[in-house]
Amino acid sequence: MEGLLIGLVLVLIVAYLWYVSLIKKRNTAREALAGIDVQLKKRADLVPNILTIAQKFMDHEKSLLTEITALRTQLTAGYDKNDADAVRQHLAQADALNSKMGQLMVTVENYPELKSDQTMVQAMQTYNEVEAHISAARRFYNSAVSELNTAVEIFPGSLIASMASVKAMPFFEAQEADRAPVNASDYLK
Amino acid sequence: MNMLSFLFGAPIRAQRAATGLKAHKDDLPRLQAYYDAEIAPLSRKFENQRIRALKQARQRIYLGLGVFLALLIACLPLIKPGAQFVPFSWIAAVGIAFLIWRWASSPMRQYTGAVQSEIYPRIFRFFGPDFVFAKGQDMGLRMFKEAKILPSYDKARFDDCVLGSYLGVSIGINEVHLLREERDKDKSRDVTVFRGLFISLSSHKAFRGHTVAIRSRGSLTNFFSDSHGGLERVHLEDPQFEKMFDVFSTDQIEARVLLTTAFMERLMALAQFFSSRIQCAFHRDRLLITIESSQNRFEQSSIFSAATFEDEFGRIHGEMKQLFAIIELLKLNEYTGL
Repeated sequence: MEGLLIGLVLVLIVAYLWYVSLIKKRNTAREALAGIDVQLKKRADLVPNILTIAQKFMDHEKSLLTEITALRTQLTAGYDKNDADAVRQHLAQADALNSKMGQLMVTVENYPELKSDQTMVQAMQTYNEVEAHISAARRFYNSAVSELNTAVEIFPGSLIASMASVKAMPFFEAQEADRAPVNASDYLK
Repeated sequence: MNMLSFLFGAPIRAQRAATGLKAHKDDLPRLQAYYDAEIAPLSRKFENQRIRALKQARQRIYLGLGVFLALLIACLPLIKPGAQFVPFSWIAAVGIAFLIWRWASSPMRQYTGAVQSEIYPRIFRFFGPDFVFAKGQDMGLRMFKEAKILPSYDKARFDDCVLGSYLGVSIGINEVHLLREERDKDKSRDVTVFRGLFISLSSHKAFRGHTVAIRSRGSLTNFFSDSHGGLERVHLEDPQFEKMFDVFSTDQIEARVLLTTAFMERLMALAQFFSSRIQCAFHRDRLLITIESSQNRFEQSSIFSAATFEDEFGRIHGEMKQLFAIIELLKLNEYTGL
C-alpha cells in the first residue's frame, strides 16, 4: 500500500513537472511571438516616414504606396494570440507587407534623387535593420514553437497538454512567392 | 638553420633573395607596392644586423661556455673527496649559466627588439595612418571580464598592443597572458589559464542585450545548466556552429540578429584561420573577441629566417582582413535610427 502511495506521488510529481515544462515552452513561444510583434510595430512606425519621403518623388507608384498603407493598417489592427489561425494570418500579412516594402526598395533605385536623399538613406538603413530584427524574431519564434510542438505532440506530453489546453502553435513559413525560384535574367535585362 | 645547427657551427650567411608575398591575388598589387616602398628598403639593413647579431651571439656562447668550464675546473680542488655537492653550489652554477646566457643572447634580443620597434609599426601603418603599435600596454581587461568570456585569473601580463580604426570602427588588439595561483600544500605556483589575443571592436550602436559565444561546454554540462553567468542559452540552427560554440544571451532576438548564418561562418573561419579557440561577446557598444594561442604574433617568427619580413606582412594582412570582414558583415560602422 505504501509503495503504491509513493508511486502515485512520484507520478504526480513527474506529471506536474511535465506540465510546468509545457507551460514554460508555451510562454516562451508566446514571448517569441510578442518579440515579432515588437519588431513589426517598429516597422509599422517606420513605414509612414518612408512613404512620406517617397511620395515627394514617386508620381507613378501611387498604387504600390496605397497597397503598403492598406497592409500596414491591417497589420496594426490586432489579432487573437491564442487562435492558431489568427496567428497564421497575422504572420502572412506581415510577410506580405515585407514583400511590398521590398518592391518599394527596388523601385527607389529608379529615382536617383530619392536614392541619394539623406533622410531616405537613413530610413532605408533603419528599415533594413528592422527587417534583420524581424527575421531574427521569426527564427526565435520558430525555435520556441518547435520545442513546444514536439512536447505537445509526443505522449505523455500530448495527454497533459490536452488536459491543460496547451495547443501546438503554427510555424512561421515563407510565402509561396518567396519560395519561387529567382529568374536572374529578369534582373539582368 | 636552427638552434642546434647554429650552436654546432653551421655557416651564417646573409639571405637576400625575397620569397614573395603571400596574399589573395586581388590584394597582392597594393600589398607589394607598399612592401617595396616601406619595408623592403629596411630589409637589407636588418639582414646585416641579423647576421651580425648571430655571429656575435655565437662567439659569446663559445666564450661563455669556456668561462663556465674554466670556473668549474677551478672549483674542483675546493671540493673535498667524499663531500656532498651542496645545493648552494647547484644554485650558483645555474645562476652563472643563466647570466652567461643572458649576456651571450643579448645581441639576438637587441635585434628582435629593433625589428619590433621599426618593422611592425610600418606593417600596421599599411592598414591606416592611425594604426599604432606599442609594447606592454593594457588595452582594458575590465571590459573583457565584464563581458564574461574570461576564465578566473589572479595575474595578467600584457605584451604587444595594436590600436587603430577601420571604417570609423576602433580596433584594439592586445597580447595577454593570464595566470591563476594554485596552492599545492605549502607551495603556490602560477598556472597559465589564457595566453593569446584580446580583440576589441567598437560599434556605433550600443547592443541592447549581452550575448556571448563561448567554446562548447559539452552536452552533459548543457543538460544540467542552460545558463552562463545569468545569460540564457540560445539554440541556433547551424549544427556545425553548435558543436563548436555555446551561445548565451539576455536578448534572444538580438542574439539571432548578430549571429546570422554569415557571422557564424565567419567566426568559424576565424577560428580555423588562427587555428585557435575563439570566444566572443557583444557587450555594451563593443564586440570583444579572445583568441587562444601560444604563438608570439608580433615578433619575427625566427631569427634564423631571412629578414625580408614578407611572411610577417602577409600573415598580419590575412589576420587583419578577417577582422575587417567582421566589421563589414556586422555593419558596426553604421548609424541607424535604432
